[in-house]
Amino acid sequence: MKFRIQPSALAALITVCVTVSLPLGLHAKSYDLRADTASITMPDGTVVPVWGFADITAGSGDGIVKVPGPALDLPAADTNLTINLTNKLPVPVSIYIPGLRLAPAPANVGGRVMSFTAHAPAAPAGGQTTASFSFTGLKPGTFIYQSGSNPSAQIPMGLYGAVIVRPAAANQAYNDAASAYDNEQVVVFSEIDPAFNSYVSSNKTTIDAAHKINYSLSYAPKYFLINGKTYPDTTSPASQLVAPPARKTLLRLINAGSQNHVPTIAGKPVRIIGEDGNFLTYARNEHAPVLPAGKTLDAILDLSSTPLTEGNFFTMFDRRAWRASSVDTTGSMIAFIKSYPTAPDVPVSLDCNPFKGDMNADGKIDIVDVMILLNKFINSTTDPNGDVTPVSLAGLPCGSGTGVLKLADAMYVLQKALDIN
Amino acid sequence: MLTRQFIKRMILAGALLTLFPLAQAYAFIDGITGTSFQFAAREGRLSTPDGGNLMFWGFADITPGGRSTVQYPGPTLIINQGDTVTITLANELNEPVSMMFPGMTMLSSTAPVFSKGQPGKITSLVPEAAPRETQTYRFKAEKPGTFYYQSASNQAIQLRMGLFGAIVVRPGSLGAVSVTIPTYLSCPPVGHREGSGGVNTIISAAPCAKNFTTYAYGHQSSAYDREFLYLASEMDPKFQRWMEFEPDKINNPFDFSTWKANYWFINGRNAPDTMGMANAMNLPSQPYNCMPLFHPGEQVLIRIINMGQDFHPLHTHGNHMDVIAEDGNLLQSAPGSGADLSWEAFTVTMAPGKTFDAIFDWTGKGLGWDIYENTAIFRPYEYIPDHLKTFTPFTSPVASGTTPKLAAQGLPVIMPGIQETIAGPNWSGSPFLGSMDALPPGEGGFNPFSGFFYMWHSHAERELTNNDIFPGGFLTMAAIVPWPATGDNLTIYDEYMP
Repeated sequence: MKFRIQPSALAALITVCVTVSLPLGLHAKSYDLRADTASITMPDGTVVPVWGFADITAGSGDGIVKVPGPALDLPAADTNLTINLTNKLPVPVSIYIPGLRLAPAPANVGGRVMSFTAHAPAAPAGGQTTASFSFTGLKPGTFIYQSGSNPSAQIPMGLYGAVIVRPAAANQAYNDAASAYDNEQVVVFSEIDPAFNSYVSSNKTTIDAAHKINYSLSYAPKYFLINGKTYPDTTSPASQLVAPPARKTLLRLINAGSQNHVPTIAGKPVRIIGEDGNFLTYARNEHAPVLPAGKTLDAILDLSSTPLTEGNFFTMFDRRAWRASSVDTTGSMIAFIKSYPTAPDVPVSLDCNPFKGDMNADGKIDIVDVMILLNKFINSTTDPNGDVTPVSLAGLPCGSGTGVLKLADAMYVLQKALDIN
Repeated sequence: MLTRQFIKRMILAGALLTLFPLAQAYAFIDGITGTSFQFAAREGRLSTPDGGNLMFWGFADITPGGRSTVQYPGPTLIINQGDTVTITLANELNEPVSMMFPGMTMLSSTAPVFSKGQPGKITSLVPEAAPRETQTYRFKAEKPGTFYYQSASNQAIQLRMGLFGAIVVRPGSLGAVSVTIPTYLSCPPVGHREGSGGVNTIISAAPCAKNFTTYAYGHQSSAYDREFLYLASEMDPKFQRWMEFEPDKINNPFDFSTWKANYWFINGRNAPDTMGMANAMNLPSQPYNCMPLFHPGEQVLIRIINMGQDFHPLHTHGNHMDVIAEDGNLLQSAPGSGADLSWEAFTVTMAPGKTFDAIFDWTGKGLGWDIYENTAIFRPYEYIPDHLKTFTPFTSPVASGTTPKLAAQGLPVIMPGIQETIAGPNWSGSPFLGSMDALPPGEGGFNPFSGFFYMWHSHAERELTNNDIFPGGFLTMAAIVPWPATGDNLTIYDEYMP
């Protein structure tokens, strides 16, 4: 049952594909992925071993192991996808995409099915193995790729990512004008149980034979991730989701975890236009969309009726209110959607942020920041970070962009320093 | 649900009758009305039917003239579409508390709160009331439907503690809408309401019609006669006790990965308390009951809200539900088309933070036997083919009545003597709706009008317990009460129930 394609054979296969497909007007996007070990650090300092995918496609891949893995984003109207997998993990790894056609070829290990499809065998120490997976006749939609081998261990370890298949029309999720959008965000939900990952990382299995423990049974996630980050790491500028005012944002919601989630945007309904890669003729308006494990939803956050100049800062959270510990919100499934007016929509780009006013950039707003701001105000020094007025309708501190400080700015920062809201 | 489907079809042809002010529904959803409220967030205690009690945090209506007792869940707000509502929240707890209103158009700030502007210290998704302080929220209820409010602060703790409540937004008046009754049913009683008198004298004269005046949404397809609330929540007593008794919560935090509910609530009560009286004296912090009582053929609106953390499969016996709305949105293919995308289910997955509206009705249609065991007259909404059906009796015994009709073609059964049997408190002694027969000594008595009882419950059977004691939890009985000859038997029933 071993499945291995030699590089020369692979090159030949690709050549054949290209030669055959181009005259037919078909495309074939090819990704080279590497399955490898890595570790990620949680906001509280806990280091968790993970298995992830790295994009090693020549010319475009960065070779960095990520959780979730790199999004496989197909060009418009592309209907074929090939994934060339290099496995450096000490376990067999395969890739399958629920909802896309793949000939099943279950791999048996010791009489048990351990893979849904042919896999890249376990890598020898210091070495690697390869396998190739091809998906044809793709339809537009949002999908998940994930390991099809020993999934109860390998998916919680981090072997998953997003697949985006696009129609020919630009800025549409499906072949229907009702799926049009201006802005697009991929949002992958998952969880991590550090004890589970540590065990699987060192033993390559979920079964502790010596202690008769099956770690799958005691899987109890402590960190709830959005795009691989848990709160408060989701607040870093790189992790923030964006939905500009006066625009329609497509949220490709993907649950790659093992728990069911209810991703909710505080106070804002979304319009569900797709489900599991299928366009919904009749969209559903929902405040609390149900996103069970393994499901994808295409949701439109429609801000097209919001004025161009109105800033906001939407909170996205799991309504199931999961959290590791009662002490603080670290580990929660909370992220933010920036909705700031930006150029060229408004003449002067506003800079809105609930964290504005942190003058010495020490991560908190206290009386020191008030003193710095007052000092700058007296000396007529400009500082965009202290320019927190006018306060927009939504209550966000927004700077006008000029950075000219006023006494009102100091009063607003003083309020925050005293925790008055 | 054929009646329901029929109504949907008939609405296309249905004539809008003369407009007149919307009559108040014969509501079984208790709540408070108005546009300006004062709430307090407070600690309280609730009772569980196994004899236990748990600490909770809830909202109290401290508006002048309000109930002023902290309650679980918080007061149900019953407001009208278009209302601008102001709620001033006074926080009597020792940590900040806030309120969010999904589905409402907020007129007050919705900016999230970070402790001293620290990105890692989100304390609330919306502005909050600090301890011993107040915060005012204003919103406009632009759409009718079933909604809720909940705390947006420290949610992992505050939602599990009970800081939530239901909101019902009533649509503007549609006037009375006439709906033709399917010809396979007998006619409704005159006036359709309690106390109109003489309903047993109706003989089918199809086609006949019925006027609806109450709607869940601004469309005839959401018409109903009676409405009930199913607000789900759960508690893990281990967590509630940690909240109450742990003196050092910082150094001995609660590990939420071990949180596991052992109590399941409908409208803040566990079974069998769900079926007790609303505003019962022995449950001062749990004023709301859940005891659907209705007559055959009535359209029953079930407003479904899940304020817990887990999913619950709400299962109705007796018939399917027709789910007409989700998250306060009528399931329609285009504005004004009515609930043409509604779906039927005998189990609805209640998801956390989600609401559904479903319509249920029951006529006994298709059971294959005359539920009234009566050849002389038609009862309101009686299924005519079953009424006309006659069976050859197998053997004795035959239930009371001059012209024997058997309740289904069961096996011939020789019933044991009345002295040798026991019966549940809801057994009337007769399988026929509205009939009472001999009961064992001291048995029965909870079914004065000989209704049919159907369990409506969570079909996750573990949730039918109170801390491992069966039966309990997420369970209540829906009672189908025969139409009275005269008077208002549901009100009497309500007073009769313990």
